[in-house]
Amino acid sequence: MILALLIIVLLVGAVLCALADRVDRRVVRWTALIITSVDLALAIGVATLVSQGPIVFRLPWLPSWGASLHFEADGLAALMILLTTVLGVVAVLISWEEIERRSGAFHVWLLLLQVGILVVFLARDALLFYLGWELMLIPLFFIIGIWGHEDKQRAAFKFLLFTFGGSIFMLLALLYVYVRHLNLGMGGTFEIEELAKTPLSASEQWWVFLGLFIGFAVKIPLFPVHTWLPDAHTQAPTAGSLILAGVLLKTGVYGLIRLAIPLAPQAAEAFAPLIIALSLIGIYYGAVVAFAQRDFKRLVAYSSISHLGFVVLGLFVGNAAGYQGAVLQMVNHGLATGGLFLLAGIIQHRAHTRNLEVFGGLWKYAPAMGAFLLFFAFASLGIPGTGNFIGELYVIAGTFQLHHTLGALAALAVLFAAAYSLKLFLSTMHGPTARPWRAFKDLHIHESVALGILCVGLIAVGLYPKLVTQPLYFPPDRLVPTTGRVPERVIRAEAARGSLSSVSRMRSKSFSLDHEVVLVSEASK
Amino acid sequence: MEGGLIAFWILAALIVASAGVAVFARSIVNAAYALFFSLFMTAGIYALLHADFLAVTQVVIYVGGILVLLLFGILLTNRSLEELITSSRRPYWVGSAIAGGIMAVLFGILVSTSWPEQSAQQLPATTAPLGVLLLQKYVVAFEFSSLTLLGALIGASYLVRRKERD
Amino acid sequence: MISGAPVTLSLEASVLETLRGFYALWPYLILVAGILLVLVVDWFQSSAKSQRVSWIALLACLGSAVSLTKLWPTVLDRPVLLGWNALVFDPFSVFFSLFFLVATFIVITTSRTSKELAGRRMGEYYALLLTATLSAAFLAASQNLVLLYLSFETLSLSSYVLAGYAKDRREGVESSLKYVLFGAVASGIMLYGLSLLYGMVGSLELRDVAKMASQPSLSFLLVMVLLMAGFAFKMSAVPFHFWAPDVYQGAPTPVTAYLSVVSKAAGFAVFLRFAAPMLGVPLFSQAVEEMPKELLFAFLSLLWILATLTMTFGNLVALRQTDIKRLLAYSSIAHAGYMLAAIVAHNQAAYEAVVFYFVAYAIANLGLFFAAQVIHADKGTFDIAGFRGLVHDSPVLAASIAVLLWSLIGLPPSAGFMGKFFLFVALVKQGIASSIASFYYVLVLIALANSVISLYYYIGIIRQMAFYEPSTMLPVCRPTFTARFGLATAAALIVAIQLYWQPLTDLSRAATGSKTPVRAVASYGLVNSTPPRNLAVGDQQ
Repeated sequence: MILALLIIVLLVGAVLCALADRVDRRVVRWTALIITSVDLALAIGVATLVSQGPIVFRLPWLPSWGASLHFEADGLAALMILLTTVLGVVAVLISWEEIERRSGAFHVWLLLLQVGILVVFLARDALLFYLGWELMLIPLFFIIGIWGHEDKQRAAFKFLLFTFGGSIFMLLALLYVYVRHLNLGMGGTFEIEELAKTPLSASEQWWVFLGLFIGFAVKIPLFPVHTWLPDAHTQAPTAGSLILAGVLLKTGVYGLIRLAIPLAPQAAEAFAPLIIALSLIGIYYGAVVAFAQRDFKRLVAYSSISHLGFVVLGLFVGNAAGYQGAVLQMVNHGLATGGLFLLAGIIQHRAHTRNLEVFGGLWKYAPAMGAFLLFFAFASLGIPGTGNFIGELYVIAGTFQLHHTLGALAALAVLFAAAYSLKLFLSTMHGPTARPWRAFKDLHIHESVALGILCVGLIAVGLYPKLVTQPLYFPPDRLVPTTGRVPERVIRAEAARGSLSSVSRMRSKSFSLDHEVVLVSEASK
Repeated sequence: MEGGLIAFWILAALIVASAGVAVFARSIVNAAYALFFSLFMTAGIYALLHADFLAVTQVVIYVGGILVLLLFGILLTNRSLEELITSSRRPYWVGSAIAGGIMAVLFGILVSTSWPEQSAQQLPATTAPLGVLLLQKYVVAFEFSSLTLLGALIGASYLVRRKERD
Repeated sequence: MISGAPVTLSLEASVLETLRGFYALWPYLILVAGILLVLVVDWFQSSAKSQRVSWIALLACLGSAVSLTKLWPTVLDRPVLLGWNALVFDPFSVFFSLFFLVATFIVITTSRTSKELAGRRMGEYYALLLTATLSAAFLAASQNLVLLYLSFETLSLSSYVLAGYAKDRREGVESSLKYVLFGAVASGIMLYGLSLLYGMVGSLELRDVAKMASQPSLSFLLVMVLLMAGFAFKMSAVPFHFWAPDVYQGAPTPVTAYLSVVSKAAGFAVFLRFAAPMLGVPLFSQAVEEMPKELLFAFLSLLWILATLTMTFGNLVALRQTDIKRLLAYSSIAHAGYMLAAIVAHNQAAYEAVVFYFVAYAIANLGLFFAAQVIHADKGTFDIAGFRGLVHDSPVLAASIAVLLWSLIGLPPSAGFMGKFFLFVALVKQGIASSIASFYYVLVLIALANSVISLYYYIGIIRQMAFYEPSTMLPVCRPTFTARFGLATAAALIVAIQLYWQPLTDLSRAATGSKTPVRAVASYGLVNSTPPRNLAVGDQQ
């Protein structure tokens, strides 16, 4: 019930915001703040409850079609909704001053955007998942298109076109599995778990995975299909960039974990080399291009591509370390890049430009802001003490397990991250003052609070990464492999958690136990 | 039966020839006369097929009714009867090529089809059975055609009305 | 040659046979009464009050629809065949009749407030509208080729006049003339096909035609191609679509809505019924005669090509349109393509999907044309620029339009998405079952790619409404409460269908007869029990 409440609260909030718009802007803001805070509280509740087992909410929807309102939160989902709701509160805070025009509509879209995201994270019904997936498009399209910056319309349109173009392949793949399952004669179902039981031949899996992968890769975004991201990020209002970078991109990774890999585990394995290559290219490409940017937000956007490359890399190296690192990076990237986008928005709001070349010496005017920027830039490059350090460490360790050269390549990329992060910090805060920034004010209280929340999160993850890694193994019963022949259920569960090579090992004769021991010991920590 | 076959070929040739004149004639009046001839010959074919009622109807309606109306229309509206209908040459070629191609395809297919043929025997007069059929088997279509006519009438009367009546 | 000698029956039996199943005609007789009453009453009214007769037309639609719903349980149980097998009232035809009536009802209500029609005599208008609806209903129900052609022509005739109803407007008359010319050619080709068909089959009844399908012959395929001309004209599918943009633009907006929904649906209904036995879909009683494989494949390939061309052409040309009615015309061509694509799947699911899709499409299209009319009434333009900044003028109006457009793109949450979903399910189903799977999958991919293209121009309108400030050159749009309410209802329906589509799929399932057991044709009645009077075939054997 608490899961449904998470969504209902937001929907009610959207209606309230629409109504409050008739009264006053301030009422809208406060309403949105209260609603998102309530949602955050609920999400914290979910996160604590989930350690006792998965929370399931299930309501029959259209039984004859096998569709049901099936929400389920396990550890991973709980983490993601926690991230979503935290950023939801931050997004409202940061829009406090920035959004002056049509503020009611803005907050309505902001809340609806979170509804879509939460549905994606919680849905265990493929149709519901797809609905949520497309539901994320509409609000963000309007948020970018109406409240964005100078080139907002093109960016909004590009965003819509790319993500819709990707999602049709995903729809086709889901549809195929649905019909295939229908043909088994057991009646149609959209339950992902049921769909995953459909016996698909290798070539069928290949196509299904390809379809799903295209859909998710656009959202992540992986290297060749990333071009919408810099535009969307640059043009979006701060809250939009925040949610986009913070959670929206993660829905792509999440989809890979929840849909693509379980539905087509063998194909996932077959695709792994290609995907690893793409993510490595993405890591380097993103970093290099980021360094060349003059636009504050564009720089951060390209760094996002680089960071997301790490996430996907971790997911597909096929071991527990990589997987944990991937999830850690998802959380960290959400917080750190979110923080950078907040600062970008704050600075732009004051300076009316994002051009890094005209900044300089801002520390003098806004030391608090500078401190925050220093922190987030360091987090972004992976300084120990922040979550990013741990996350990248895990991913790189996982990659080394797979192959030394790949591991070395991944490790080297951290250097590039240092380059663009430092460039970002130095060219804004240090150096000669290019312009007299007289009217440049330091942080407002609500801005400090927003940034502070993200800081605390990052440090917490950095100092105590079990916050993130432990919930991954809820519910724990998923991870008890039996000796000898491994039941299919466990293989599926393994696949769902991304341990690809372990799946193959279980399937092949040369099943070694050592890897499983690692997993079990980690789970029991 | 040979006599009938010969008559058919003569009629068919005349129909095609006059239809050709109707299409290619430069004067619209000539075209109308050619059409008249073509339709009249068609009635002959009906007669040859023992479709007596149809033959008479063809004469009465097409030849007696529609064509006369058409001629009246031309004579009343077109002041200069000698005015030539001109058209450029190229569409002729393109059009004939397309039409010829379609005709070849149709001809090929139709010739290769085995048609359910009926041996030519002396058939009874068709007027009475047709009347019965119209009120039996095709009664709905027959009644429905009144609606078609009603619709056409309403439409025509609306379109030709000069001013909105009050 | 007359198809067989007249049935020799006693007078009494003959009359009884004529009257058999007569009760099923009631809904249609109400419509006929409506037509006559509209004409007569209008005669006694001054021009200024001419709009009043719309009440009669509305009542006729309502009465007809009510009596049809009473007929529904009967036909669901057992189809009614009447008029010496000329008409069949099975759930399929009754569903389409109801669909036409509801759409006509909406068109009449929108006609009442139309500025394009203001100040005209409306008697003829409503009479023709009802005539067209009646013929559309008969088209969906006709079981013999004569009635099929007659109702086809009647529908066309009344549509021609309706399209040019604003006869003092140049573009109106021009578009009407274009419509007539294209219509005449299309129906001429169709008639040629029908006469060939009669020559081949020796009978005018659809069930005999269906039997013919099982014998492989190239000329049967030729006949199907020729008949497709007529059907495609009504569906506005390539290559008989040329009239659509001009007519849609030139006709008064309510008429455009009517053409895009009722006329098109009638084309699909008759095609679905006609092709069902050959495609192997047991649409109720119709005997399924399997077409020979090569012939079926040739026919499917033809449909495949038509579908691809239709949707791609419609969507590509729509990209460049600036007039909303023209844009919607091309969009409706594209939608005909999607539905044709589903028919390629030639299974039960495809038929259900087309019915479902049509409902979703109709809601969106009726709504959008009405919106165009509302905006035109205030701003005096059909240009997309009229939509500029609409969200500031009337948020409800803008939001409703956005939802309807969203549905036409086929993005969730909307009925249009579910419609596309079912279309694709039908195709994928067939693909999995078939040995030439890629034949179907490629079509799905093309259709999906087309939705992406269509995103471009639909979103263009949403962009105009939401992202810009209203143009200061144009007056502010102030829709009445009724207009806003109507459009909001349409939008709500669209979303509601997404959230709970069960009733609509149940309906489309019932309408295409999945639940009804297949019955032999011969079981209905007197005339059927006599063997088909195909002398010719007997002679040959």
